Amino acid sequence: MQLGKIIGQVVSTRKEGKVQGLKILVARYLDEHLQETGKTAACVDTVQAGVGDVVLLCSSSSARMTAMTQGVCTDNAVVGIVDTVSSGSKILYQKSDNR
Amino acid sequence: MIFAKVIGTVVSTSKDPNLEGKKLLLCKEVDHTGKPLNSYHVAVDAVQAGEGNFVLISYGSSARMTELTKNAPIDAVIMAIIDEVQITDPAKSAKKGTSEV
Repeated sequence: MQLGKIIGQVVSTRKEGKVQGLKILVARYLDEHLQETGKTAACVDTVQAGVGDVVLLCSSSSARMTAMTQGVCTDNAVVGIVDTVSSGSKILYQKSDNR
Repeated sequence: MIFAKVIGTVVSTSKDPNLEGKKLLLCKEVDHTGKPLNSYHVAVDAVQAGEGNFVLISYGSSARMTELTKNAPIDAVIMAIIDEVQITDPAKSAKKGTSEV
């Protein structure tokens, strides 16, 4: 999975059948130091993530392995909201501080 | 598969139910000699790897081909801890090859 930060959402009234009713968030990819990269993606939200949350992004066909995205034409899903990222004793990211 | 070094841990409590109970490790992609490349994966640990370990990662849908990760929204799994990488120097193997023939 990759790390991303939710920066917004996509509003689309004309969507393919099964995508109706699913929330599509805009995530900016983060690197392993939690720094923002230039790459963004539209991902189906399955964990009620909000703007500013650091999240786990799952792509490839695995994105369809959640209850909400089963059989849906999506290749990118938000599958977790990250609480902490640590490396050795160093905390790279802690959810409450960055709210 | 790709070579990677485990550099950290990711904790997430509100996540997909199929991710419950699985360790998420932050892994930096490296080449076969351990030289860092510029990509990383948050991978599910299927072999009790720890920080600092030199590992193999399978990513994409193949990441679901383990008992631990099947039917789960997982696109990267650590499926081996590397003990050693043996690279045969083409020059040496060619010389050896000719003497045997």
